[in-house]
Amino acid sequence: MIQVHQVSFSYNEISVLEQTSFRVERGEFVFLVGPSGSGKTTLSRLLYADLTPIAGDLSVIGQKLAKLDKMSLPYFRQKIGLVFQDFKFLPNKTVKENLALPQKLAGTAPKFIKENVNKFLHQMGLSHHQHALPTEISNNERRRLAIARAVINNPVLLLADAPTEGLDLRLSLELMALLDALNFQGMTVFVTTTDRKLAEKCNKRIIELRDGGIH
Amino acid sequence: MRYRFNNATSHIACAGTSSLIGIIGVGFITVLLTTLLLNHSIISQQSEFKNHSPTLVAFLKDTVDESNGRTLVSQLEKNGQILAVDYTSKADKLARGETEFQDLGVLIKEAFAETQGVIPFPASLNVYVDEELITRKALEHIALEIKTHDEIEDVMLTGQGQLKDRLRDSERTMLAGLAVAVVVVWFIIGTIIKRAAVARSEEIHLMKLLGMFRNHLLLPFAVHGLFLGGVGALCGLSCFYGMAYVFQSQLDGVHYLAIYQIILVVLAEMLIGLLVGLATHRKFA
Repeated sequence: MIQVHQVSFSYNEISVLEQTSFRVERGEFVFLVGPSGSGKTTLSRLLYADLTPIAGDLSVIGQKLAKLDKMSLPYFRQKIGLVFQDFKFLPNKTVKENLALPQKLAGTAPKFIKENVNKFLHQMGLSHHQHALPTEISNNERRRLAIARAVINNPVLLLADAPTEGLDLRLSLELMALLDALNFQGMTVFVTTTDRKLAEKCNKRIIELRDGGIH
Repeated sequence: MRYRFNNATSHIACAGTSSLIGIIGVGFITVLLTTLLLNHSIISQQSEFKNHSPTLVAFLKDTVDESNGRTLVSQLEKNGQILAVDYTSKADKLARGETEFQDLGVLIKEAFAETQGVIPFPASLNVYVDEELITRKALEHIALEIKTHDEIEDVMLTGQGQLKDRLRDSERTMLAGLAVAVVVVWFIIGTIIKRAAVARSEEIHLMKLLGMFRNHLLLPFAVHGLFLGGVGALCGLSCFYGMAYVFQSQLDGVHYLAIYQIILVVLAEMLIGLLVGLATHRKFA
């Protein structure tokens, strides 16, 4: 599902990743653990082709990222669900409109968009906030909205960048249970976190990123 | 469809007051362009009206009879820059006077019949010159050359050549104005659309990450360009005719462009808007 081979990346000659390599198989639930600034978000951005590595090969859902062109990039990204560290909602759109966005971008028929959005709002317990702006709901609700938006197009891979950041252990475990349920349905889940204890509690495979490399 | 429409309108709204400033800018350019176009149209109409007049009229001396006059015609026609020369006798002039000057012409004709004196109108040569090919200076040179003939009393430029000169000048000015207008309108619309795109840059980046296709934003960018060009042009034309109406007494009446010219101005500015929109879309989306 994910193949990272000898990947290096640097920001303005400051090296972040150095010849990093790992594999994630289809249907796996993997934690990428590392301290702040270790390059987790960078690695995550490399996986959804928001950044380009300076060296090495990346292959995600069977697609070599170096071979992606502007035409095929949207198709590739529509197969991946993304949960961003800062959520990245459209601030002037309602919860419902934010949730509908990936479906609209994928060209889903309005009738199905309405059905899916209502279903996910109900599943995530956000129905009563559907007309609220993202800034008007709680942090935990925003996280659930971010996950709902990531999975509404039924992607094969879910990349969640620090989804438990700022949450207490109880809420973090609740969130992990939600991701575990998605993984149980066959979705490959790749979560980055600074919280090693949480990853250990979930009893899933852990990849540790430290000093620009995998340990 | 409703989503696409909302997407386009929210894109226009993103530029905020900049869109309004853009419309004013495009409108101002439209006013200038319309002025040049109208000026050219009026001169063109005048020129069309006088199109069948000779460029020069050479008046023959009273001592020159018809056969000498016609010999002079064949001499003058040898000049390559002269298209044709018509001989008009005194009798023709007298007959034409009745038609052209009506009552006064009749009076003159009656006076001539009574007195059997000298016909007051001189015989003349109507000289037609290809004005598209020669300059004003060359026209004056031809006039001087004709005047050197002993049979010629005087040579008069009818103003037709002058009108053609003005038409050529206004054509040049209009083309230059048109080129400047295209560049300025392109710049104004481009700046406003870029502002809207920059205001939406985070949103655009997010949509790209969520799998947006390139053509998803094509409509908002194109509609924004069409909107700025079209509304700007219509506002400019309204302002132009509004001002013309207010100052009509000083302007000797309001002159209107032909409907096809108005449509052409609006369509041209909409086309510029569309092209700018598409160019900006290529850059941002």
